[in-house]
Amino acid sequence: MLKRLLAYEWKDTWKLMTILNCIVMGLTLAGSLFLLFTHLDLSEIFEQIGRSDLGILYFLSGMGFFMLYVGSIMVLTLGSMIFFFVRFYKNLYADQGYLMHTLPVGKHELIWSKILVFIVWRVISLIVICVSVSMLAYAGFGDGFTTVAAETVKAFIDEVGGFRCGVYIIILILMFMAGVLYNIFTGYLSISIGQLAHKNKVLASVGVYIGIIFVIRVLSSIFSNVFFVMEEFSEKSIIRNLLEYRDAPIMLCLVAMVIQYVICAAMYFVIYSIMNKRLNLD
Amino acid sequence: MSGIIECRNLTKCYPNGKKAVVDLNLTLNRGKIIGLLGPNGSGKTTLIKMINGLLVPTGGNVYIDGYEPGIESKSIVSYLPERTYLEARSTVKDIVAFFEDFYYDFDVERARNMIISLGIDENAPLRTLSKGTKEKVQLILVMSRNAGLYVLDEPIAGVDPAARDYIIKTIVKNHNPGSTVLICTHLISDIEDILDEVIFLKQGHLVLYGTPDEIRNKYNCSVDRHFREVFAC
Repeated sequence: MLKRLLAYEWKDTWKLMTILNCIVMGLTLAGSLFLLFTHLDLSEIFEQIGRSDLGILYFLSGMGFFMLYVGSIMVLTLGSMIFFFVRFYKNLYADQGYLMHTLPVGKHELIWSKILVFIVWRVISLIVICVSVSMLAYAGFGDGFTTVAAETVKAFIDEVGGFRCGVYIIILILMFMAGVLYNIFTGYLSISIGQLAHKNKVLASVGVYIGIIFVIRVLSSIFSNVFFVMEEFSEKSIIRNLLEYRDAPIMLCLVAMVIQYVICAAMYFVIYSIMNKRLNLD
Repeated sequence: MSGIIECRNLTKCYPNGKKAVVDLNLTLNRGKIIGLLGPNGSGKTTLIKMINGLLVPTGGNVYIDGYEPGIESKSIVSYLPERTYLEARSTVKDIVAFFEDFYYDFDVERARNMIISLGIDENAPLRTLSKGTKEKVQLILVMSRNAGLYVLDEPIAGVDPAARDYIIKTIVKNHNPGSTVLICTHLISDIEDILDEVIFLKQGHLVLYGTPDEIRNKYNCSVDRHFREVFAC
């Protein structure tokens, strides 16, 4: 049944997400053309045709395009996240929940169908953004960009070694996934807790979301402050000892990543428990 | 064989302290059309939601064909809620395909025949249909399943008398033989003739459970009349 749920979730989301990704790519192509023109001495051309005012127009349209591009990236990242959160709420905790929760499928399947499709679109969007930024950078800086990029990659490989490089890339992918899951679970958990409210469930969900972000920030800040104070006063410094190892930074990243996955697992457990034991459809 | 629905000390209290269903003990027979009757706030919808696993009881248990609400029970219960739960931008065809995909007992031909007989455009998005037509589409979907239990929450509320007749006829004609139909309503006079058994709920308590004939003989009046007397304000 998960396969069928995934198919329907995909069917209901692909149109909007494809449009958003295509808008970013369309603006990227337009922007690349625009940036290619900057290599020409346009002011001279404008003066030759007696339209020096076109220079200002060109500058303003460049600014306008830049704002439009940033806006499209914001919509693709933030807007699509809100779209999936609203969809989760409407599908499982509002009127459509009467259909979804009476299907002969398990709660795990319901939750995972939402999570997996969200992850796929997150990954696609990230790839689109990376390609887009690379194309604009190439159009703007030409071979300078490819040279810098190649040198950075080479320096990275030289620094960490061939085998470690592969390990680092895997860890970076896992860290990216941890970040994606953390964002998704924070939203889904907030909505699940918010629906427990007797009234104003959407408002309650937004409040819980802000609350969760705040609590996690405070806790991580307390944890890091305590850690650094202990470091300051202890004779055997963990950080100093760690820094003696070549892989110290990646070890710290691994610890942070594991913590993030543990938090995600805890959030998933709470979402499942609420859906299973505290479902509250009006 | 045990009943299709068994409630044992079933209780539901809402967070605001309101007790919607209180210590309910009830066993519903198989193969009957049963009216779940009571005024607003008597706990009918809460009971139905607990049967469908949309609300979790605060006490006691409810069993459907021996199962607690879950995947097994949901595969045999065909539920019509009191609201429109279908996505407005979906077409009638999409929704029929959705039901066909998820319910192994869904009879596509039966659904299509009913849709065609009503002159509903299969390719029309739901948002373009009138409220009454949307309700009919939902009823068609629910009654096109060969379910063991049909749970219909206010199926005839808010529709004109002609539509009411159509809905009642659809329920009687299409329910799976041997299945149980639980109809929740307070429009008793419209459905009295098709009921095999009736349940009166008052403030979450079971007041009466019997056949319409028993009520007529005992109180010398119709079920509707007796309902008005029991729940007189």
